[in-house]
Amino acid sequence: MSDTDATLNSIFSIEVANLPPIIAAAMESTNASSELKEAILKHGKDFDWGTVFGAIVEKVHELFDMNLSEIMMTGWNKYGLLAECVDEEKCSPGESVLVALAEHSFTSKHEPSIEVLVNEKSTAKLPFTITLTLNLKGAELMVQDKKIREIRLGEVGGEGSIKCGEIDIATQEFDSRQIPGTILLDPGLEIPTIDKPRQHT
Amino acid sequence: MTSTSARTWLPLLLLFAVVPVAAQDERTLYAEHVNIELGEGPKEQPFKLKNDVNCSRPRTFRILLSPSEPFPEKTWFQLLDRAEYELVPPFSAKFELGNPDDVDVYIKYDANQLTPGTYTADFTISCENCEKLKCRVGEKFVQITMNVIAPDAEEPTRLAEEIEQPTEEELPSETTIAQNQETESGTDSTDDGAGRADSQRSGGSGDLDLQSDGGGGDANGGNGGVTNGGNGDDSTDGNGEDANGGNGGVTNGGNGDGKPPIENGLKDVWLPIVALLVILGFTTLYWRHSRGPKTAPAAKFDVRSHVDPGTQTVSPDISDRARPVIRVRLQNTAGEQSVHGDPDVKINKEQ
Repeated sequence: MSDTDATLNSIFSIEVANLPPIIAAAMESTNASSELKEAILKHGKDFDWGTVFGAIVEKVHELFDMNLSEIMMTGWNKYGLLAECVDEEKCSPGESVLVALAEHSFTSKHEPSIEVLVNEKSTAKLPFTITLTLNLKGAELMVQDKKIREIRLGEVGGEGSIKCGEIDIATQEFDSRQIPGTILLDPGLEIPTIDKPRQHT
Repeated sequence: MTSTSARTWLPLLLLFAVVPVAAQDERTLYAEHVNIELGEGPKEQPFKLKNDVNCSRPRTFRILLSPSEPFPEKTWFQLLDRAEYELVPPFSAKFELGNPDDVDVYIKYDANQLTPGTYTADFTISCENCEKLKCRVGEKFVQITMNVIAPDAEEPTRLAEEIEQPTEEELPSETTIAQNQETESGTDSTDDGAGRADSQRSGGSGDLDLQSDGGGGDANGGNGGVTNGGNGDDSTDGNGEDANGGNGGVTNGGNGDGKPPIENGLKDVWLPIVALLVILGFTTLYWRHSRGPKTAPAAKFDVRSHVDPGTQTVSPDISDRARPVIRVRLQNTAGEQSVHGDPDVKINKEQ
């Protein structure tokens, strides 16, 4: 997969080595964090809260390391946008097909979580809610051999937010602007085949 | 012995060593702050039952007063803030006590119904679930002796004589707890007839102790002193001292057997302790030899992330508007090949 792939971390500017203090503070102020901290402190000297929180932050980074291309392809594929490209009768092997997408809004909502276990026993869970909305205009996909090889986003705007429990820990708005260049996917994202619904006779 | 067999006998040995010691802790039920007042009107004899018995289930106790002389008919047994039980002859009632559960208990009776004289009564608290729950509280009782004197008595009267009452059959290990040795000197006041005499002596006991405070002063004509001898094995039973013009005094004579508590207590205590120490020594050696010196395993924590692939929506539905706009096909064929001349290559091999 290409290094040019965008992830939620890059979109929200989250870096594990330097978690924005405001995000850390927001995370610590959630009810879930307080309960977790309380549970951890019950173990007395066994744990240092700073160490535990550091491990959580590391997992936060892992959590948001979701590939945007894969997320978008999942969404597009759900609507059968690329169904024609996996049909060998319409797209012969080796043929490169540039698919132009009409202007649309793409929304992706995720509810991941981080679980802390003490002695293999689940102690607390930090729930996150990630909402990402992208308004795409002039997006194009290059498809070859049932795989998306390139994504040209065209003009993109939108917003995203990350909540930890009930508290917003990060929000990001993107003004609509032309995204230059192409996201190269090597060896490409395979387009899953959509099962056609069975027809009852 | 192989390490396998050692693993088998070690827990058993530990079990035998620990149980007698633990059993002592299970039987910590005692009453403290016994105050007995005699005077006009109904009086109360409060107890605080400290119930630290290591038994998770509530137990039913029976309380029983067995007077040797005519006793006031109006006698109640009350758990403070709870139900009140009237003790009708033979002055017994049942109550339930959870654990841990300290509760104030009052014995109320009308002292005015008593004519001057000496009265004795056995005050018994027994656990009715011992056989079923094996909590081993058993039964404890003290003998209450009351010296009731007339209000106009001129001379202070010695309230109670030392009373020794053999403890009823108790569990063997009950004698191993000797506690609550306490003595306070009394204070008498003879100036105005409103004296206050406190004399307290509590012998330690086994699972169920009655610990007394000195008798409180009465507003009218002085008070009796109180002595509660515990159920322990000590020989000291208190002698209440009278107040000037007091109405009565009460002594709860202990049920000791006349031996110092340390004599009986240590005898039963040191054996399991020594056994435990020996076993602990063996255990330490066993672990050192079998596993070597190790630090205790620290608790460990683990953090897991649960990634959610999420739900994606596209609006508006553009499925019919996504069309391949450019197709690039490689029109590659094998081509035409022709050969001119004789392609047959002869290789002359020189001899």
